[in-house]
Amino acid sequence: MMTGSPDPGDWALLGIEPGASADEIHCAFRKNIETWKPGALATYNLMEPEERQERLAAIETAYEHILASSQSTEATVPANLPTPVMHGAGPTAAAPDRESAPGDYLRYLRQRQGMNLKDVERRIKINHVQLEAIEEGRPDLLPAPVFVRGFLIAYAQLLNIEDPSGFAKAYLKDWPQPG
Amino acid sequence: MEAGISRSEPQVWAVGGGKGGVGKSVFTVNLGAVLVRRNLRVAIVDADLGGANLHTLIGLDSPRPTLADFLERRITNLEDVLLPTGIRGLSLLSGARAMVQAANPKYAQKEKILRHLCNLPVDVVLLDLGGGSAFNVLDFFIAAHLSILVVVPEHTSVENAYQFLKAAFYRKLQRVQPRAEVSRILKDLMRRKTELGISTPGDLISAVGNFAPEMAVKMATALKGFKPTIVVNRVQLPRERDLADEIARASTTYFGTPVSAAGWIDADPLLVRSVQERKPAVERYPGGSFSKAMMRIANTLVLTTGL
Repeated sequence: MMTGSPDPGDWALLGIEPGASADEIHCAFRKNIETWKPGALATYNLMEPEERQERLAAIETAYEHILASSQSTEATVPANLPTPVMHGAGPTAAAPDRESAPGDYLRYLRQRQGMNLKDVERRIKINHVQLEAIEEGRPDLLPAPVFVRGFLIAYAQLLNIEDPSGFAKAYLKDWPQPG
Repeated sequence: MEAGISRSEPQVWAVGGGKGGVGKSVFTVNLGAVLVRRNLRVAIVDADLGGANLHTLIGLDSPRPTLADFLERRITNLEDVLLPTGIRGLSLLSGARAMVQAANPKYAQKEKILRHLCNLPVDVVLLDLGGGSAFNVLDFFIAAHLSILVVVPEHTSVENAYQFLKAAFYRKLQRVQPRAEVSRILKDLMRRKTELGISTPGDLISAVGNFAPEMAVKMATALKGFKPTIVVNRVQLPRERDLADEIARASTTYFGTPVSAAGWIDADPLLVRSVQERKPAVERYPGGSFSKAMMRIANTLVLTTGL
């Protein structure tokens, strides 16, 4: 499934200029989630709950589009990036299941691409401790799911996983919702 | 109300909040006292008719004359109602003793007041508006060159601020062409806004564009001239410092028109003391956190308006 490329509206939705740096993109995403998440003081009773959910989804989609495009143009992406198709895996490394063990799946792909957590941190500006918590599936060490979904989309996109937002959704399916 | 502004006329800055008790009056007095240090002549105007108390904050007990004398035509020139405050360059137009009927002037009267305000021999007119979103408050808010919205980090205040902003946007659009048939169209659209999916001023303009494209263009232009800015007062927690930025960002994307952030003010016990002492905090406690915040905000506002 194609994720689509960003149009001017995607950038506007996050409040950044087209061509903003990866840092600015992540920062804008987090600030937007902070502003629009359910219960945020900054947008208290500005809109109906359904409208809020739509807006959060739109922010996520815009973020995903922008990340996808910025990665395809990023010079630091190695040209020989392996695809996430698992049947080519070596005999010692059986691929974890994407559905039942998404954290292990992320770690597996990362290692196959020769990156450590610090490499990933440098690339997508998400702290390596949080990345590790994502791979280990530790909600207790991570912020609210609305943020983690963004982390997951960015991480999945870096690893060339198909349908990053679908992956993020599946990953968070059984997570505790904040009270 | 769309006063034509020449260089010699003062800039009118309105201070609203949609809610009482958020610190509009204290903000106004202190902003005035900071601005005069830039060699600007400033008039602070107590437009909270029926609930006026700027004079009290500045240390005047029962000021004479007041806006009431102008509204009741005992004084023809608004300039003659200006009172010295004891602070060089800062004068006060008191709203004390203004009757309740004066608190709800007719549109023509408001236009007259604004016309006179724009003839005052000052550089900046600071309008301290009352709480609530009544037309008498909104009309001054939307006519100003700069519309400052004071919010405190409480749900009720944020909620009122958005109600106020929404009402201000719609009022601004309504005043574009206050002809009867136009206002009927608008009223009809607003009544059916849920059904038509109108939730922002941008949506309303699009809806109008369907049967009155010229008017839609005018409305879009009017909206561009209305640029509210957010100040968050009485900040206690570090994360509340981001609130002005967040409200500005949310408003800009939600309403589809730029809303800016002018900054935040930390809660400061010295401010409470200055109110008890009936002197502006920026004069009395210039080193306090409130005073420092006011200087920062004044800087931002001067830059925003190119004063």
